Amino acid sequence: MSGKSEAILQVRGLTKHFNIAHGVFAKPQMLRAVDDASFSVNRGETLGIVGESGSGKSTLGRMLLNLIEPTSGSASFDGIELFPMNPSKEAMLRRKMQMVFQDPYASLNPRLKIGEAIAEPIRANGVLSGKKRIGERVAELLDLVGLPPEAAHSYPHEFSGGQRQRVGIARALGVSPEFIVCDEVVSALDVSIQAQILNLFAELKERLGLTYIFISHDFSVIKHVSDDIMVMYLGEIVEIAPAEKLFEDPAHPYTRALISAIPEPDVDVVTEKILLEGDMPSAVSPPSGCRFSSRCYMARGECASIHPALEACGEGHFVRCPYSRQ
Amino acid sequence: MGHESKAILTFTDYSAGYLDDEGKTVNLLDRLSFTVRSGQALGVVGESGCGKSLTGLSAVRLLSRQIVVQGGAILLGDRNILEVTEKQMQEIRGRDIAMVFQEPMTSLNPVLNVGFQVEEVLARHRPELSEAQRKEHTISLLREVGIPAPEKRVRDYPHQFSGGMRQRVMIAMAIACRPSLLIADEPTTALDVTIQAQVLELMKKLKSKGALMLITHNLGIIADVCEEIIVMYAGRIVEKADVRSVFKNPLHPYTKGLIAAIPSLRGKKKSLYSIPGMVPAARNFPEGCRFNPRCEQRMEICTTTVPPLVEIQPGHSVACHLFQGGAL
Repeated sequence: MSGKSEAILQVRGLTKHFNIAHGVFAKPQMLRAVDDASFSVNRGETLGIVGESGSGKSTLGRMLLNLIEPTSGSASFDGIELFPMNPSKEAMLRRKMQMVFQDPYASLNPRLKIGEAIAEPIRANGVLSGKKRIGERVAELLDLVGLPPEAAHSYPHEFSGGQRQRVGIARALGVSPEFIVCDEVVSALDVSIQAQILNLFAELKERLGLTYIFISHDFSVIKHVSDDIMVMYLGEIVEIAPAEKLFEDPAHPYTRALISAIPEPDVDVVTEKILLEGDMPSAVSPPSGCRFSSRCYMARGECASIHPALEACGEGHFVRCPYSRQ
Repeated sequence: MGHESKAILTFTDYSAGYLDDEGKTVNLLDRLSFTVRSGQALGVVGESGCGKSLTGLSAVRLLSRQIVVQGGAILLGDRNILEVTEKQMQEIRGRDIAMVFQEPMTSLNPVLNVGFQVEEVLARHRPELSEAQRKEHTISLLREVGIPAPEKRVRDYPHQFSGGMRQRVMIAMAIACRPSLLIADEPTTALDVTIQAQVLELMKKLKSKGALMLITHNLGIIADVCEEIIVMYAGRIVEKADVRSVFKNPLHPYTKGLIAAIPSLRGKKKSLYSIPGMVPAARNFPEGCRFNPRCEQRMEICTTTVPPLVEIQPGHSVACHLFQGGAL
């Protein structure tokens, strides 16, 4: 990526294969969730990761937060090698890297008041101690995410989806992180609430100088929030480009199909739809050669046998398809 | 719009509510009037809690027992379905009107193969067909909705199908008897975008053979598939028009807000417009215009008087006090 600002996160060949074989004596059966992912994120920028279910985008995000242990590969954050992880390193990194999830209701203890839920990570990570100081910090965080101070005394069920997502964000911000992975954070919300939350993320980025990885299946959300966009298909990065560039001049046939498939709320936009045949194949036995070859409308004979590499095709623009420019 | 094609489904001042714990009726749907015409798709849009699904379920009379109809009529052709018996309704459902839901896995029986489930609809409504004819017809239906190798897939069970394929099976069941109206409630919300595009293509093909009522929160889908649109807020229709008018010239502040809140693929919006607040629960619906607490153009009258749905331009109606003079 173009080099004005420094890369805060560098990922090299990160891979996760899950063994999904049942039983002790069963032959190992590997689900290749993420294969050989390499990319970097610059400080203060947002990398959007877009892909359909099963593309590996969430697994990738979770590996960076050490919620899933990678099979191989390496990554560094602010000069610190992430793997192998050890408890003291993890404690230190937790204060720098945080995550916000899709369903804040599932990640909030229903018996814990909101104030307690927000205080928990602050206490657990040893950021502050003393009831009064933590209480003040909680009030500050509630204000930061646009909730009234009284919210501290309510329970999660008293809140709407949008408000719960604000609580989820406040919890992540408690340790004053530099970097947040946002995994489908607006997918469960109605469009007017989604706009409120997206604006909040933008405002926080500006005010606190945060760096984000934004994971979503929704291309218009990703386009709105990202500086760079990474498209994943069946565990692999198929294209990375600056956001505007990716949308104006998508190189990979999959990216083009994905963009053309988005129904746009504009009656004057007549896009030539590229309809893909069939479904995404299983990540247990992905197609040989190019993984998209089984559904690609541009596939040729070689595509089923030769696995293409991710190659530069413009400034900050990388694509995994040798024929994309023909 | 005009009179080009015949009315398939007409709601006239239809109202419904639910009985609360104290036995009082709380209004949910307030005097809905709209028409679905043959060969067309009517899009019903609004956020969660606006009454879209309840409107769809009303048309097939699949309402839970707490729901009470408070008035109005729902005409299917020239028959008021609020007046037919449950037995007659069972004949109508599946034959004249059918519905597809968001999550196909919960609507399919996991222990029966999909061929059996499609055949069941035919056995119920087309007793004149022999078993062999039913089997043959099932295969051709599955082929029509785009399931590859249907002669093999009929023996498969729902769990052996992907989400998109299951939704196709549901659609095959719904169209088995060529109903004059198909109601689809968020049919692609659980699907990936490339699969959604496939299912929407199928929907477009189907509407030309009958009529479609498409319930969705996604305005993009409406722009892609529908001719007419009704925008619902808190159980009322706030705007009703042909799709082009609504997107080009939205009148109601809620419609404007909904459109402005969507992140755009084209051009760069720095910050998204967001409608303040959220949809209230039915028992807290405010007096006057139900949108008034969230409206940035609220006037005195909005908090006291319900704005009627008024036709401002031919085919374009809006329920908002800003337009009560009829002027734009």
